[in-house]
Amino acid sequence: MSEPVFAVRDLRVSVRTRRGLASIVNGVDLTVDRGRTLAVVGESGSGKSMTMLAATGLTPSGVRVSGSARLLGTDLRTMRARKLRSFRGRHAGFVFQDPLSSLNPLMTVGRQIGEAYQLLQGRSRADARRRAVELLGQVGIPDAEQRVDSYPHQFSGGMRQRVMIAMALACEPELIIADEATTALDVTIEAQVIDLVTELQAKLGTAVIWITHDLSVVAGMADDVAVMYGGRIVEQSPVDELFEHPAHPYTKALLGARPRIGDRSPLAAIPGSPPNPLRLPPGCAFYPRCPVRGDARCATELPPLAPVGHEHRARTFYADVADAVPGGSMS
Amino acid sequence: MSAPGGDVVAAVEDLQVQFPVRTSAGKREVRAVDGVSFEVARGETLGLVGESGSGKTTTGLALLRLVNPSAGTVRILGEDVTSWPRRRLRALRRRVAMVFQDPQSSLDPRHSIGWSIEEPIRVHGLRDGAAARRARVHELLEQVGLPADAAARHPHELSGGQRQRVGIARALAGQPDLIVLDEPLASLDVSVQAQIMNLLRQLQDELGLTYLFIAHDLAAIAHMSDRVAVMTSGHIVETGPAVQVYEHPQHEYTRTLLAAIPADTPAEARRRRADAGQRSPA
Repeated sequence: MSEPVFAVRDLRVSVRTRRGLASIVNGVDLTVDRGRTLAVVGESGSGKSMTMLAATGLTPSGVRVSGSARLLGTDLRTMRARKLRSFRGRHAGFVFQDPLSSLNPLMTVGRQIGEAYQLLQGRSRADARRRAVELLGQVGIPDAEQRVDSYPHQFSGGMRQRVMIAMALACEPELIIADEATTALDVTIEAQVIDLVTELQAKLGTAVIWITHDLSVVAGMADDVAVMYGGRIVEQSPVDELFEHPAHPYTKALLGARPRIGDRSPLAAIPGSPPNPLRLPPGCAFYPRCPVRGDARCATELPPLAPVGHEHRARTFYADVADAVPGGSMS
Repeated sequence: MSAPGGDVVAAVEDLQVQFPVRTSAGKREVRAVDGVSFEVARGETLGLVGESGSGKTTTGLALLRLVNPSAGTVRILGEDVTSWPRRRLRALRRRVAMVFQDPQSSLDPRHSIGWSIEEPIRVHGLRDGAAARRARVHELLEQVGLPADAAARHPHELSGGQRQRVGIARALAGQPDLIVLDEPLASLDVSVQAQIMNLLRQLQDELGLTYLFIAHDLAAIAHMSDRVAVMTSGHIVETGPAVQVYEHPQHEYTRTLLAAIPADTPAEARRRRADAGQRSPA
C-alpha cells in the first residue's frame, strides 16, 4: 500500500475565549490518497475549516492544537516555522472562499501566481511569468498573455477564483485544500470551477480535500466523504455508499431535509440549530436534535466511530434504525 | 404575464432601475432592471430566480421604493405607487414588507428582540398602549415559533435560524399584503433552511400571505413557488408555473441554469456526465 498524500491523526483544536474554552475540533482522523477527492462536509461550527487550518499550521496564535498531520510522510505539526512554510508552499495549495481577501490588490495576478514558483523553486522572474501565463491558460482564462498583467479587481468573481486555483497549482502540489471554494459563486460558475478542478486532478494526480457545507455539491465530485458535526467526524464513507446507505441520523436528516424539484410537501426539517463549541453536550453532539433519540446513553456517552459497512464508519449507537426522519414524509 | 385568477396584489409594468456608475470613461448609467413586468396574485408565491447581478434584488427593493424606478410602474392593490411622495412611503412599507438575507445585519444589535418586533407596530401606529403592543409582540413570536422569553434577548444571543424568525415576525407585524423575501435562506445553515421554508409555507396557509420569493437556489425556488420568473441581466426571460418551467424550459438561459443544479446523488451525477459526453464527444 502506498503512503497517503495527507494523513491527519487525532487532531484537536481548542480556543480560550472570554466565555470559556471552546473545543472546536475533538479528535479527527482523515486520510486522502493520490488522485482522490475527499469531501469534508459540515455546517458552521462543525470544525471542518479549523481542522484543515490547524493541520497545515495556519491557525492564528492563541489556538491550541494537538495531534499529527503528515503531508507526504512528514509531520507538519513538528516542523520548524521556516521549514514548514517552504514545505507547505511546495506540496500543498489552498483555495479559499473569498479570493478578494486572499489576493494582494496591489500586485498583478501574474506576479502572485509566479511568486511561489520563483521563490520555492529558485526560478527567474521571466520563468515565473511564463509559468503564470501557462497556468492562467490551464484554468481557462482567455487571453492569458494579456491578463497576466491585470490586477485582481479587474477580474470577475468566478475569474478571480480561477486565479486562486492557478496560484494553488503553481508548484504542482501533491495536495489541494479547497475551503468553500465555490460558495460565493453563482451556480453556473460553480459547476465550471468544479469541472476545472476535477479535470486538472485527473491530469496531475493531485489529491484534493474539498471543504463544504453543501452536501449536494459533493455528490458529483467526491470519492470519499467525511461528515463533521460538533468538531468530530460523525460519518465517513465512499460517496456512493453515503448517499445510498447513510448510517448516522444526522446524515440521514441532512439528506432528507433537501427540497426536491417536483415535490412541494413539507420538508423533513431538522429542529434546533448546530451546537455551540463552548457548550458541547457530553454524549452525542447531535442528540438534542436527533429524531431517533435512542436512549439515555446517547446523552451521556460518546458513540465511537464504528464500522457499519465496507470502508464506512458512523459515530452512532443507532446506525441500523431505518429512515428515522422527522415528519415521516420521507421515502 | 398576468397572475392566474384572484385579485392582483402587485403589478409591475416595464420596470427600469438605473444606477450611476463612475468608470475611467466618466459617469454613466447602468440598468440593473431593464423592462421587467409581472403580477403577483393574492395568496400565491412568485419565485424570482437569478444569479448575482441579474437585478432580482433590485426589483424587490423597487416594490418597497427602497430604490426608485427610473421608468415603468409599480401598482400595489391597483394603486400606482411609483411616484408616491416620501411622506406616503411609510404607508407603502406597511402594505409591502421585506425579509432580508442576513438577519444579523438587519437587526439592531443594541435593542432587544421584543423592541425590534415592536418597532413596526409602533411606527405604523397599529396598537394603542404599551400593553397592547407587547401582547401583539408575543402573538408574533408564537406565530414564528419563538418562545415568549425571546423578547428579552438580544440578537447575538440567538442562532441564525432564530434571528431569521425575528426578521419574519417583523415583516408580519403590519399585516402586509405582500412580503418580499430576499434570499431568506442564503445565510442559514443547511440543516436550518428547511425549518424556515416550512415556517414560511405554514404562515402562508394560515394567514393567506402573498410572497415574492427571491433566490438563486433553484431547488428552494421550486419548493416555495407557485409560479417562477427567471431573471438575467435585468430582464425576465421566462415565466410560468414552476413545474412547467423546470420540466420544459423554453429559454436557453433557463436551460443553462437548470443544468447547473448539482446532482442529487452520485449515480445521477454519473448519468449526467455520460449524457454530456455523448452530446460532445471529446
